[in-house]
Amino acid sequence: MKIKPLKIVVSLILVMVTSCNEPETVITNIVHPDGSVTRKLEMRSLLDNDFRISDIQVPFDSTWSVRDSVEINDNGDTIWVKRAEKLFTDVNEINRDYLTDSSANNEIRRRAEFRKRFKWFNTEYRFAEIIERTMEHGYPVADFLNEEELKWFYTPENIAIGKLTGADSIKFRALSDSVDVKSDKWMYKSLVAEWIAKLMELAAEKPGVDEAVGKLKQNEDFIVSLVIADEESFDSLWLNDIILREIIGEENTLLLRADADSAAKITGEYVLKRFLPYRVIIRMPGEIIGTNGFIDSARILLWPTNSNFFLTEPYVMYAESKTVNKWAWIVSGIFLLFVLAGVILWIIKR
Amino acid sequence: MNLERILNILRRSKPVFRSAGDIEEKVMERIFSMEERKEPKQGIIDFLFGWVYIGWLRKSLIAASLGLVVVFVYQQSVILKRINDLNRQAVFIDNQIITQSSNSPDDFLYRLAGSRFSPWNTMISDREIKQMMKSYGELEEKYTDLIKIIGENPEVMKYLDDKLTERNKKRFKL
Repeated sequence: MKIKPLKIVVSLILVMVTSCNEPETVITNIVHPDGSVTRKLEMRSLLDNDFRISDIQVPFDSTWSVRDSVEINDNGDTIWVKRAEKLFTDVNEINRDYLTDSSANNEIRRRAEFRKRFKWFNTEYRFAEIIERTMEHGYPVADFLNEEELKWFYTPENIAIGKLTGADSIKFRALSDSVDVKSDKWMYKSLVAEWIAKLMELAAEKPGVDEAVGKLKQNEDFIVSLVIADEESFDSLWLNDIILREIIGEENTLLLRADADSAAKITGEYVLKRFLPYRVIIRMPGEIIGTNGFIDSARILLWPTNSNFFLTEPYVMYAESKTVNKWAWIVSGIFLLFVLAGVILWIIKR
Repeated sequence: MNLERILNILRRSKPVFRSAGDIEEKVMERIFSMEERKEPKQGIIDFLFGWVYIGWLRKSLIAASLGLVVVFVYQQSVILKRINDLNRQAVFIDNQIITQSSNSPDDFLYRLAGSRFSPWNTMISDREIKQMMKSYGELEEKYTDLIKIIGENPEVMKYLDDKLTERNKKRFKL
């Protein structure tokens, strides 16, 4: 088994993206002007009220105040709801929790950022939740998808389903199919790039590795096209070393075969990190002036998460807002009037 | 004759100034007090606006004022542009899709009042919020009924659709 796991890896990633019967979780960050953050957790489950700490998507401990309840949804189903809340004095406290994370997503590196800038007339705030990338050598998804496809790629699953089954469904199905094909290509290409980079690391000291890896890099698209065209043929070609021999030659294949296997294994493990998706809501002080999230009519900002979003690039969920410094407006107004009056007086007396 | 003699004597005998300094002081005091009586506010104005007669100070304060105006105009235009961009880039979606159906009072108030509401600094009691939630729910129910009635009448539906499209175009400057 050499690069055969590639197919399995991609299939698993796609399976991981769609959660099955996991509680729906929403994390709300209420950012206060002083930089403190109230984090609220809301988990809803149709199955049971057994919310285990290992199932919670963010760091969670006994310092959170918890409230469990049972609700009935519009369809008359019973829903078990767990609500928890904690006030963090600043983002450093959130980041400390992320460092000692024992939640369901503890294999993923995450952090939060807060910035406050005094700009005399206004004070600007920026809060961001960042999920670090899992691959080091992959390609940005924006290189493969256009603007419209990127929007679809990041659309929350329930909204996408709504569009696929609602009005204009034909248009959205075509868009969805196009995104699926292109994102498959992106994922394969990123995995191949990661595998090549790992191979380079493992076989760094072997003679002729630079030349061999250079050839592999040049043939990255060729390898990806073989995988996409026919996976069974690819598996057979790969198992018999035909592809490697064709690209890097007989001698190099013998030299790098073991490293190529190890690199494929590492790439698979490296990429297949456990991740339970959740949604992030950010509430900022003052008026929102910038964000990359989804906005509803009440100006609530929302981001979906899934493991694809941070495969090759950090997934930055940011919101920027401003509050008006009324006192600065008053002081500036008085100052302007004072100078204006002085100048008028001076002109009159001259 | 006598009168002329007296006049000559008086012309020759000049007055003797025993305290010339006191007289000078009194005269000066009267002059100052007359000036003060004439323009009582002049002193305050001179105090406040004395800087206008000092060239470098006048120029500096004018430059500072202009700088303040430039900063204000720049900041506001940047913010306005960013808000307009946000309206263009943002995907406005239905409330229910985004946040499920959270029943907590502060979520409800935030949804109603947006960022104008500070959940950590409110004077509204829980009882009042619950009453408001109840009224809001009733209103929503009536609104749903209204939508249903409108949905059954294609003419009214079309009229409202046109009006809403027109309003949204204006709102998002399309």
